[in-house]
Amino acid sequence: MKSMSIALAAFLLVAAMGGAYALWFESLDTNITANTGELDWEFMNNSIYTSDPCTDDLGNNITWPDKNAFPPDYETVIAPEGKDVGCTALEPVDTDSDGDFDTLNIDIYNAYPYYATEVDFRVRNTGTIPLKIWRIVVTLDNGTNYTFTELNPDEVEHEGLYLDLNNDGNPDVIMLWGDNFGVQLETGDTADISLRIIVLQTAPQGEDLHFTISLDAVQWNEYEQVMGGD
Amino acid sequence: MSKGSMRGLMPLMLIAVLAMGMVGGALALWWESLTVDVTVHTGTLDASLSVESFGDNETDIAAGMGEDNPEVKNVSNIYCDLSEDGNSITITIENAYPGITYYCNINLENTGTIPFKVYSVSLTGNITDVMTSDSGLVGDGIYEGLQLHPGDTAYDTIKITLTNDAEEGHTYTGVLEIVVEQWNEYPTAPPT
Repeated sequence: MKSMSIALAAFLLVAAMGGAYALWFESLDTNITANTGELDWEFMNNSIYTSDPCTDDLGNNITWPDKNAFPPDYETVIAPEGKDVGCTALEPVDTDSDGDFDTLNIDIYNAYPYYATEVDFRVRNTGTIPLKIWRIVVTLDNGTNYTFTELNPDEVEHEGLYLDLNNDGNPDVIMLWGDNFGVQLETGDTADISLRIIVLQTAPQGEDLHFTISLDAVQWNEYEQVMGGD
Repeated sequence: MSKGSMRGLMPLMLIAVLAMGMVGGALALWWESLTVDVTVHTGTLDASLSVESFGDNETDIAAGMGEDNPEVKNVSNIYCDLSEDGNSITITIENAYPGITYYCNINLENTGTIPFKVYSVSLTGNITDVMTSDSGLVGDGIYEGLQLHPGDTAYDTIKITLTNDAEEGHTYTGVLEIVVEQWNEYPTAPPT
């Protein structure tokens, strides 16, 4: 009997150890891969026009009537005498070589007071997620900048933004910007935008005056956030 | 882990996720800029004068009066001197006397890059008190409203004939001023 008790105890010990070593179990895994999209947009080539081009599509110099806009109504443009004095050259540039034109160079040549030029272009969402046209930031060479969104469009859209480009205390040009603040572009969608630049009486003669406009788009779902909403 | 303990953790995890989302949104909001780079190259409005010729009609008058040697009647002289900047001509008449016509033929050229129009032509000074009525800028080349494109030139004549009212041994002065302005704002008065 004593030997039977010893054998039973041994069996129970081994069984207990076996349970610890061979507990049945199974894992379920969730493999996660996030392929992020891209926020991107461009100036569409062949959608960029000016009211007073310097050259035709083949690059030949052309004669095109100048447009003028006089105070106080800078939104009305006329072509006095049909004379060609100044002109506007446009050049889209792909600065980051990603296949999209991300910069538009505008050069206004032989400008004079009340010379007015209008530039029309189309932007396209070339990314993979929707975007919203957020704001423009106009920056002068001295670092001064002006920001406009759909919350404060009047000055730049109707009244005109007066810019002192040579720091002499007098405005040299007026810029008017077309609409489309807050417009949403789905992937592949486009929007037409225009701007007008009018040279003022106080502009200096024989000088190069420069400024930039940054046109910023933001991912669609955070537009309200950047606009200060919830 | 029991369902009860999971329920207790869920709000904490949600808060953590929301907090991370807010921080991520602030730091890494996706946005993209397009740039419009604008350069305005302004032109120039510039006009210049030049002297074509000058003289008087003393010898012609003498010849017409049968003078054997008309040159001896060449006792007065006119000089038209152009300034270095081309903006003015100084006319000097020496030993002037009534009845003689002095002239200075001038050119007005658009040396800028944009068209201009002549806003005004005026002659002032006490010389106007002793000039004949047909004196002044007498040609039809330079006149108010004349438009010159870059490189274009207009020709005209300044004529001065003194009347008998001119005093002997006196100096008379005058300024013939030509004001030009950009073509597209004519006839707006330029600032004074």
